[in-house]
Order: sequence, then C-alpha cells, then structure tokens
Amino acid sequence: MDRGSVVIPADNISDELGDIIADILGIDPGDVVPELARGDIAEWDSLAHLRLMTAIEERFGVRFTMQEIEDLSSVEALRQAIATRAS
Amino acid sequence: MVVAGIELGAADLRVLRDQIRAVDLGGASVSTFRSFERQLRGLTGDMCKIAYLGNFTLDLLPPFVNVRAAAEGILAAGRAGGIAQHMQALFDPQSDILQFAPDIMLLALSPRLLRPDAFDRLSAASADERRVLKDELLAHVEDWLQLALEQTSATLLVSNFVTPAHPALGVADTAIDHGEAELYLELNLGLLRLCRDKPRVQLVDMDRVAARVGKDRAFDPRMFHLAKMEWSEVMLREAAIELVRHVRAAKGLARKCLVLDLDNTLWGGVIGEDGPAGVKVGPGDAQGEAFAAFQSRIKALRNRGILLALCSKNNPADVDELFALRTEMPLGRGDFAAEVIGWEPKHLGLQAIARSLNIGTDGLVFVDDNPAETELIKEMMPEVEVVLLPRDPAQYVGVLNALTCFEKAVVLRDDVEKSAKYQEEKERRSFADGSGNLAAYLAGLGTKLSIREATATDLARVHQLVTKTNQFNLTTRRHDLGAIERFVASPDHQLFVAAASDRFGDLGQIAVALLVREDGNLVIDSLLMSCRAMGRGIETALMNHLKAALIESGAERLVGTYIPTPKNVPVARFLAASGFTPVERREDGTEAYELRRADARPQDCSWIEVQS
Repeated sequence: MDRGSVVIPADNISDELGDIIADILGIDPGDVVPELARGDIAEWDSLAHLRLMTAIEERFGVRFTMQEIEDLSSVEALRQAIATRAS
Repeated sequence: MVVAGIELGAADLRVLRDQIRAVDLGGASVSTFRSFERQLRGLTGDMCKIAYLGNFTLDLLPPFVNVRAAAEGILAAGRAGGIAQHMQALFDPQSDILQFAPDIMLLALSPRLLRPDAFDRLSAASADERRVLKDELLAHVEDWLQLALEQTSATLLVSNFVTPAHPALGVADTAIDHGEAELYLELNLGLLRLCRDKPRVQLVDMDRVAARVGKDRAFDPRMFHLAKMEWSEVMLREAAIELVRHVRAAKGLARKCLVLDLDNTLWGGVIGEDGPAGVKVGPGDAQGEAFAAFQSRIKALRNRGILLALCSKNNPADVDELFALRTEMPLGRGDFAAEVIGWEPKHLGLQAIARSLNIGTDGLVFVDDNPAETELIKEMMPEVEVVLLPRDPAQYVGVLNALTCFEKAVVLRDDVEKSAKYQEEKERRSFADGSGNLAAYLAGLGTKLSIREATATDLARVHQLVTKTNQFNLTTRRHDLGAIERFVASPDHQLFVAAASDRFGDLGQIAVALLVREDGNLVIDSLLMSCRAMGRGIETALMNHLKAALIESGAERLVGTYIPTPKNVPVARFLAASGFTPVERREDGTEAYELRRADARPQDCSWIEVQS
C-alpha cells in the first residue's frame, strides 16, 4: 500500500477522520463527535480501534507509536495527532 | 486511495462478487474492505463455515477471508475461537466452535507463544533441548489433529510456522547444531509430513505467504505487543488469499480447462504476419524467453490434471506449420486436448471446446492478450473465467500464478495421466468422424473460388440469387432482370459473380456483388451469397476482391450498408469484421459503413484457392 505523505488542510481533517471512523465502526457519521471515545460504544472495541488506527495511518500517511495507539482514544485526540503530523 | 467510495446495494452474492473483483483488493483501503464486509453480512445462502483456532489473535482474519471468498463466489462465515483455547474448543461438545459445526477449521499457532520460556532461552539451550522442544511442538499439533479429526467432520487447515526473519545468533545461527533456523525447518518439515496423506487435512504454507509479503512487513511488533497479533494488516490480506485457495481446493472447485489464444499469448508476434519462423519463443531474445517461461508454466498445469485447449483466429495451415517447425517450444501440439483454429467468434469456439471435452463452460478459463476477445467472452459467457494478459510478457507467469481457480487439494497420479488420455481420445475421435476440428475440416475441403464480372450468360442465375437469397444478403435489394441487364452494360456498375467448387464437387455460382460508382466512391449496392456456401470464409475472399477493385478503380472509399431483415442476422457484423468503419446508424435501423483506400487490406482466407 502506498504510504506517501499527504498534506491535508486542517479543516478537512475533521471531515475525513469523521468519514473513516463512521465507516470503520459502522456508525452514523452524525454520531462522530469530538468527545466520542473508545469504549463509549460497543462498536469501538479494542480490535475495532486497531483497524481504525491502521485505516488512519493509511489514509493520512502517518505512523503512530504503540503508546499513541493505546493513548489516542477520542475523536478529538486523533484529530489533533493527525493535524500535528500532517503539517 | 479510496475512503468509502463503494456503492452499497448488492442484491446477491453474484453482484457483490463482481463489485469486489472490480477492485484491486491488494491495494484497497481498510474502508473498502469494511464496506464489502458489511454488504456480505446482509447476504444469505449456502454458507461455507470457517472456524479459526490458534494461540494468537485471529479475530481480524475472518473478514478478510470472507471478502476474498466472496470474490470467488463463495459465501463464507467465520467464527474465531478464544485465544489459546484451540484444544479446549474441541474437548467440549457444547463449545461455541463445535456448535458452529464448521466446514473448514484453521489452526494457526505461534510456537513462541506456545512455549514462551523455551523460546526465551533458545539460544542458550543445548541442541538436545532444542530437539526435544521440536518434538513437543509437533506432538502438540498431532494431538490437536487427532482430536479435530474425531470431533468434527471439517476439513482441517494447519498453518505451518513463519520462520523468524532475524535469528538471535545472527549469521552464526545456521553454523550451530540445531539453531533457530534448523529448528523451524525441522518443525515445518514435520508438519508437512504430519498433514500429508490425510484426506481431510491440508498444510497451509504460511511461511511462504510471509516470505511473499516480506517477513519484516508481515509482522507488526506494535500489534503483537498490543493485541497478540502475529500478522500485520498486509499479512492478513495475503493469508486470506492463501486460505481461500485452500477452501477452493477443499470444496473441489478447481476449473477444468485452460483455453489459450496463440498470437502474442504463447509467442511474441503473429503467425499470419511474422510467419512460423518469425514469432518469438525460446532462447536468444528476452521476449522469446519470457514466452517460453510462460509456456513451461502452462505445461506444468497439466500435472495438476488441468486440460489445455487452443482457441485462435488463424489459418489452420499456418498453425500446423508452426507446431511442426518450432519443436523446441515447451508446448507441443500433443499438449492440447482440444483446438478451435478458425475465424468464428471465440465464444463459439469455447462452446465447441467445452462440448468436445464434455465439460461445462463454467469449467473454462480463457486467456488472451486481446481485450476485444476478452470483453466478448465476458459478455457472451459470464460463467467463464477470463484473463486479459498484461502488455509485458515478462508478467505472464505472474498472472498465471495469481489464478486461484486451479487449486486442488491433492494431485493424483491419475491427474497427470488424464491429459494424456484426452489427447488419445481426441486423436481417436478425429479419426472416427473424419473431420476433427473446424480448422482441419476447412483446410480439408479444398475450396476453389472463381470471381469475375457477370456477362449476359450469367443473367438468369444472378437474378435467381438476387431474388432468392435471404440470409447472407447485406441489402436484400430484389433487382429485376431488366435492372440486372442494365448493370451489366453500364460503365458505372460492376457486377461480380462467384463460382465455387470443392473436393466433393461443383457448387456452381453462389455469390453476387454489385458495385456502383457514385461521387468518387464505390458503393456496394448488393452483396449476397447462397447459404450452402456459408461457413467457409468465401465471403472473405469476395470482400478481398472488392477491396482490390477499390484500389484499382482509384476511388476514394468503399461504401457499404447493412439493411437488417428478420433473416439476414448472419451478415450483421460482416462489414465491421471486414475492416469497415461504422459511419451512421439510422433511425430505421440501417447501418452505414465505409472503408477508405488506405485501410483496404485483404484478410486471410488462405484455405480457399481464388482464381479471378
């Protein structure tokens, strides 16, 4: 898979991220709010979290450390992490 | 990169299968997979139930397998067992896995997780201790196999062990007695032997899959430490493909016959243009070597009991000459159980091949370098597996390797001999009915054709043909005798009449063509042929004659029209097939075509001797 770096404008990150989360977790995009976190809903269990992180890495061309994968557990935290790397 | 661009709405497995096949799953995004998985969940039907047991996290594998299986038209449902409960799952008849009643059961073990202490101390252990470890691990798998064979009727897929990419002792590892590399080699050899000769057991060579992926890519330490996942995302995808191959093999779904084109498929070049000596196959030239490698790989398929057939648009005599001349090619005439060499559309050829081999057309795989041919077959025969070869012959072998439709669980002695039996049968049959295949038949007819301009003595016969011919008739213009007389006399008209004969006798005058000079063009007013002369390419010879007339006349183009009637469907594509360009399709259904001088090239019909 091509993991070339992709520069995404900041306001687009939220939208893209929202799409990925909704898609991977199989939930309504409207339910993806910044406060939504792993464990809040049944769909976002530990395995889904790993798939989500892989999808984010692939889509945004970023790479997370093991610790980050464990720690980044809310939509907002993910958005910030991506924004930091993508700039 | 695709985020979520796949349209939902698959009504059944077939539609979904086609959607999945349209996507390159290798490069597809996680989202794409998820989308397919969701659609799959909505489908019901004949399920292939697959249980996944092992001592590392396998939960992410079933979705990949389900999507891959769907791409092959198999509806699969997966159930993963509890981690490291591969034995427990089988002891208790009420267990989730046994209640699931799987058709297929995978065992995937990580040796390191099975004996963590032993592997931690491995480089410090003695050779004997390592041997004992190996024996224990093999005994463990053997115990599981016994239990699984007793407790289920599933086909068992036993994954071998992925040998480590970086032994602890580095390059010195292979120099010692029973180092890590040797241990894994012995383990995997032991597994191979354990699984062999047990009809319900197949060894899955995951080590080879990981090697294909690249061992460093196959393992993601983050995922391993976080979730005990031995396999990275890319390894999961490759493993899924391999598992689906095994599922196909277990279900006996191998296709039966590989049908091949000739020009630019089995050799570089076109016999009709380069001649039998000029096409490239064999040493001395990179292209030739690539084609020879492809032929060798195809030949090896025979050892699986797969039949080979040819379907080529070529002059039969040229093909005969080539096989007689190029005996150094890996494939010989005798390797093919059926052949259709001729000018009919290839879907007819494939149907004939299936009939002659007494197999269904859904047992065929069709390989061609020409997208026009592959698209035709995809449309006319969706049950055939169609493979369009890429532009570079160096990639041909890879394309063959990527096919999953020829997977068999076991190859028997019988399979190897089957192809030979078909060859004998083929020869016997052609001897018996005397005609063999179409190519041989046409050549054997010895057709002779004479074409000339009509004179007064031909009037009656020409008139008869003009009024009676319905099928092979482009415009169905029923000129009366008076009109025909005028055409013969007129300097602006050329009325041709063709007479044919063959080995069996004289067919008489069987075709008429009328050209009219108009506005610097030659217009085909009429082109018709008696139905008893059809099916042997006489129309091609006739059209060649008209093309020659165009060149000679100095006119700019040949103009032709197809006026459809309920009876003349046989000529619907004739002008296009002769190289004419469609110009217009009118409201009444008539089709106008033209052929410019520069494009007026004769087509091969060398099995007909033309005198004009």
